[in-house]
Amino acid sequence: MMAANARRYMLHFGSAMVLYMATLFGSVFLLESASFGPVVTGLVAVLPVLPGLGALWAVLTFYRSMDEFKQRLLAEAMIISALLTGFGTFAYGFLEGALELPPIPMIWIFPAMIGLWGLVGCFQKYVVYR
Amino acid sequence: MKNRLRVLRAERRWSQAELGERVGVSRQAVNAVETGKHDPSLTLAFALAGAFDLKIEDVFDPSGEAD
Repeated sequence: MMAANARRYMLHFGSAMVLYMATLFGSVFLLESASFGPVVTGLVAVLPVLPGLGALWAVLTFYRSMDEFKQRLLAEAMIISALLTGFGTFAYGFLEGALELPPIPMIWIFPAMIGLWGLVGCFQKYVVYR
Repeated sequence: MKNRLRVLRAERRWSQAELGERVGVSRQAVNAVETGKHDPSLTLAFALAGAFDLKIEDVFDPSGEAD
């Protein structure tokens, strides 16, 4: 059975994601259906990031509700994924120049980091600390 | 860090989850401490020793690695 703190996290994070999807669709719809000045266009474009702050709060609250061992695992996984993403994109930057590889849009960096965070977390859970 | 958690648990027929519940941590945390993969904080070490009504030095031995 899922622990109470995990259930709360799912609820908070899920709500933030629903709000994110709603603002994302709203933002795309607005940008495609009307034309605004650069300031309003910029504000509408970053609007979906605001619910992301709700997700950040959900993750922080969940982190603080964990015991010290799980906090350590989560923090380690975050550090590893941040470093892997950082060095990976840095290395790709060198290759991009040397081999004329296509540039990677910056929007993919955050999802890559979060995805790696999950993968490292699974590795910790099922291999290292099984 | 070397510790006697496994033996003490076995004597009382407690599972890792049961011990975790008594001190307010997860089963995984108890397992990690027991196997020496996680050195507990002072607070957790005191709580674990307290669960067995023992002193901290009767449960943990900082001089060696866990079995």
